[in-house]
This record gives sequence, structure tokens and C-alpha cells, in this order.
Amino acid sequence: MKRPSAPRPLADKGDGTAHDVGPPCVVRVAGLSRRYGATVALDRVDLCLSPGVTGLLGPNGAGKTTLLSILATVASPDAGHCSVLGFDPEHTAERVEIRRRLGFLPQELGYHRHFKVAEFLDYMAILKEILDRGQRRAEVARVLALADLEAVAGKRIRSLSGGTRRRVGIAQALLGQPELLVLDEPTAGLDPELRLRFRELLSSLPGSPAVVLSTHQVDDVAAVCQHVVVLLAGQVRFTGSPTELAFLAEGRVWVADERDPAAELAWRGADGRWRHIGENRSGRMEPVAPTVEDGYLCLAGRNAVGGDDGAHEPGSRGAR
Amino acid sequence: MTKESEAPRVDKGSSTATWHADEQLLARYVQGDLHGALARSLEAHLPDCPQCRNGLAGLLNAARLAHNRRVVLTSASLPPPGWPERMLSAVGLPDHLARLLVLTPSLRRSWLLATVLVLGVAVGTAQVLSPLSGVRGAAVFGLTAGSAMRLLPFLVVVPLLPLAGVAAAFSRRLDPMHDLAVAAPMSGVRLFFLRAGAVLVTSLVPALFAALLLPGPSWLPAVLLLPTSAVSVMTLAASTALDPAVAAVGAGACWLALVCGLGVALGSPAVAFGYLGQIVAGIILVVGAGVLVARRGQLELGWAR
Repeated sequence: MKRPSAPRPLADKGDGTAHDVGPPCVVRVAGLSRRYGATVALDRVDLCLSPGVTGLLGPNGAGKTTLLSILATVASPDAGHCSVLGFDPEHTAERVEIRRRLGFLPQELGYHRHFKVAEFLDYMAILKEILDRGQRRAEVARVLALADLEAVAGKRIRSLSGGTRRRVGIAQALLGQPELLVLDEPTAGLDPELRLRFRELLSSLPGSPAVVLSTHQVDDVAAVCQHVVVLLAGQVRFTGSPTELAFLAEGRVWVADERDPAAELAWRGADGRWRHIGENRSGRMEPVAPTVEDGYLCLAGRNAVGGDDGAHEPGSRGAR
Repeated sequence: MTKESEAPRVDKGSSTATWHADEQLLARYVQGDLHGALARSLEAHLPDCPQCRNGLAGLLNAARLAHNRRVVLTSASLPPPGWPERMLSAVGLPDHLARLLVLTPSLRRSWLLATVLVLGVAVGTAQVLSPLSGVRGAAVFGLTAGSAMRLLPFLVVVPLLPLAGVAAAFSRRLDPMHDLAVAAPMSGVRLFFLRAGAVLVTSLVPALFAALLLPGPSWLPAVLLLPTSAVSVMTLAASTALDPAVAAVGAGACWLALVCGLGVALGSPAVAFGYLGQIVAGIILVVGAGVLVARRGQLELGWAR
């Protein structure tokens, strides 16, 4: 693997410096915080997201949905500042300008029970200010074709499978050719073939909109995202490219025939050998090239298996 | 996105031109996917090459046909509008407004049935009860205190109906598409007024008709109009700063306190509908409308609510 020169991991906690993924910023947030009762969903998040596809990784409850809701102008922060496509969502008129340029897929797609797919998209097109009937139908036809939903256009949404419903959600986000797509877990419930179709769709969107998506599928990030942000417990812990994320695990991924009981994380791969992440304490393991998933697990591994947050500060190698 | 440096594919044909654009290249040109030098070079080539022009003409038709076919199929997949939507279109409302109105959460059939039911109970109560002879107090517009008491449920309930409708129209719980609507540009003041207007009309019209069925005087609907409008406008004005549901509950509580307070203080709940009540309602209406106009930019679903 080619060794990247300068990985940029880890949020410094609250020094107010934005973590540039690379200028210019499509989205810039500074000191963004949001609480729900006693739960801190976002804790002084600073970010600058470049054009292209940005993947947001993190375990459940890390603050991904809250961050995306704020970017989509659905929720407001308790503190901090946010700029989306150069507009400030705090100002009513600018908020509308953001919404005119935005495609948003919420985590849970809401729809009226009686809605058919085309009817739902037609209603969403009205909400997106495509008021001329002819134009609206052409636009609905366009996104139906893009999301490969033409065969189910006349079916009720509630009768569709979870994966197809997700595609309906993606289709509505594409209405009006938005400049920014905010997609909360777009690949949840999609089978491998549909995930591949989603990647194709994302790569071939006309106008190349900026995309921010959250996912639990690390391989989606490796496949389509130019930038990755890792959120843990409401804080940004990494920004950079997928290659740089993988590099965090450089020298910390090992394989052995037996499981090392001292290893932080270990699992048996398809070849029957054990893949370990952490230190080679026994000294009997062979180093292997890390993947993006290894890099993510290095950061979030113990969170993912229920460990405490402080115990897994990323290792010295490549982390700072 | 298309790489502009990509070289055009060359077909060696029999025409005098040195190269011909293949079908894929022409298709990309038709779809608008060809940019920069490649597009310009094709455009420079086309006037001198009948073969490529023919190829392009064929594709143009095919692309248009495919597009038209998709639009026709999409239109066929849309269910025909129901009678409320057709009725709204018949009175000249654009189809997108009719669609937005019929999908107001508090205009569902169940909600409208509940409105009719509540009004029915209030009217029925007034019909069943006889005038209370023991009640003393000022007569308002010829309506004695005793008659006013039997109309009390109706008089109290009517102004509350649109409040409940407003609260429901903007409720995250009742609107499954709340988040999607909030993130859309239509979610601001336009959608707010559309929904609020729809709620007021669908609450007030049945209420005024129901008032005609009451045993009281025939002008009863007229005295209800101003207080009901005042309480509704107060709710909308308060919605510029508060969650609409909170605003509705607050306005409803104020209304109940006013009717009951005046009833206790002056001996008859009818006073709230008398000259004094009408003047107060008029003032609230004007002030509320002023606030509403001045702060209309703050009316929207979601965001800081």
C-alpha cells in the first residue's frame, strides 16, 4: 500500500480549529454542539467538508444523525456556527436558499400510508417548488429512472421491501438536481447488488453534487467516498481520505493461526486465520496491510464492542 | 462526469469525412454529457458530415421518445385526484396548491369526522337542555343568561376547534413527512399559511353551519365569528415564537379563562360574546394580525422549534 504522507486524524478537543478535509468548504461547522436532555449528541464539532463524497462513520449514538439533521436544516444546534453552501441556516431567507439546493434522506423515510411511489415523489417535487405539472412529471420520471424504480412507480410504498423503500428515499433526495445531498444511511437495508447500484448512481449523478452520507458500511466509504469523517461520542476523531484512515492501522494489524488472548480485537477470516488489531504482544504474529475497516476499528473498535471511550486512544503510529 | 480528454471513437466509413462519431459518442452529446473540446469538435464536424447528422437525428428521436414514454408512464402511475382535490381545482386553485391542502395532516377524514362529532355533541347538549331559569346575569343581544348557559358547551368549543387543527397541522407526530417537508424550500411561510388557512376554513364552516341548528337566536354564528378568528390569529401570531402546538394550548387556555372568568365575574358566559367581548376580540384580532404580518418570516416548520 502506498504510504500517504500526512494523515490528519483526530479532533483536538475544542480548540476551535476547523479540520480541513481540503478547501473549498461546501459545509463548514465550528463549535457545533447539540444536547438532547442529558445526552450530548454533538460536542463542539469543527469541520470543513469539501466537494465530492464525504462519508460519516461512527457507532450508533455517535451524533451522525444529529449532525446531518443540522446540515439539512431540520434541527438547530444549541451552540456553534454552521455554513452550508455558503449560507447561514440561522437566517430564515438563507435557510430557504439552502433548502432549494438540498436533497435530504432522513434515517427514517416518512410517507402517508396511502402514498404510491410516483405520488410520493410528485408531492415531494411540489415541496421542492417544482410547481409546473409537466416539469414535475418529467422530474419524477427522471429520478424514477435514476433509482431504477420505474417498475414500482404505481405501487404503494408500504407494500415495498425495505431496500426498495430506501431507493424511493434516495430518489426523492435527487429531485430538482440538488447541489448538496445529505443522506442518512442510504445503504441501510440494501442487499450487496443494490449497494453496488447505489455506488454507480452516486458516481454518475449529473452535475456532481457534493454528498455527505452516514453509514455503518465501511466498505461503502472505501468504495465511493473521497473524504471520511469519524465521529465518536459527539466528537470528530478523524478527517481525511479513506487511505489515510486505513493508514491509522498501519503496523497494528496482524494475522496468526491462533487467537492472541491479549489482542484488543480479533476475528477469524475466510482463510481460517485470525486477524488481530492492536499490539503484537506475543510477537508471533505476521503484519499485514491494513484496510479502511481496520483503520476505523482502530479508532472505534472498543466503542463498537462496548468498551470505554478513553481506553482506545489511537496508537502513536500514524495517528498524530 | 465525462472526461474531456477522452478521444472520440472513430468509425472508418465510406463518406468523404475523415472520421465519424460512433453511436455512443452521439448519444452522450444528445444527453448533454459531452463537454469542452470533444463537444466543440463534434459540432464543427457535424455540418460537413451527413452520416453523423443522420445518426444524431435518429438518436434525438429515440431519446425524446424514451423521455416522453417515461413521463407518460409516470403520469399513468399517479392516482387520479380525489373529490376534495377536484373541487379545489374546479374553483381555480392550481393543482399543486390543491395537493398541498388535501395533505394537511389535520384535514384527514378522521379529523373532519371528529370535528363534526364534537359539534354534534355541543349542538345536541344545547337542544336537550332547557333554558336554566335560576341563572341571573346580563342578557346579551337578547340572549338571556339562562339560555347562554345551555349554549355554553358550543360557545366554548367552537373557538377551540381551529386551535386543535393548527396544532395538529404542524405536529411532528401527526405528519409522517414532517422532516422531509422541513428540509424542503416550500416548508416556510407559504406552507404554514396554506395549512393554517385550510384548518380555519374546515373548522369554521362546519361550526357556523352547526350554530344555525342551535335553539338560540339566528345571529349566533355572527357573534361567534370574531372571537373564534381572534383566538385563531392569536395562535398563529404566537407560533412565530413558539411551537404551534404550545401556542394553540396557550391560546386555548386564555380563551377558557376569559369565558369562565367573565362568566363568574359578570354572571353570564354570554358576556364574552357581547359588545365588550366583541371589542376585545376585535383588538386581539388586529394586534395578532399585525404581529403575524410583521413576523411572518418566522413562521415555518422545524428548525429552531
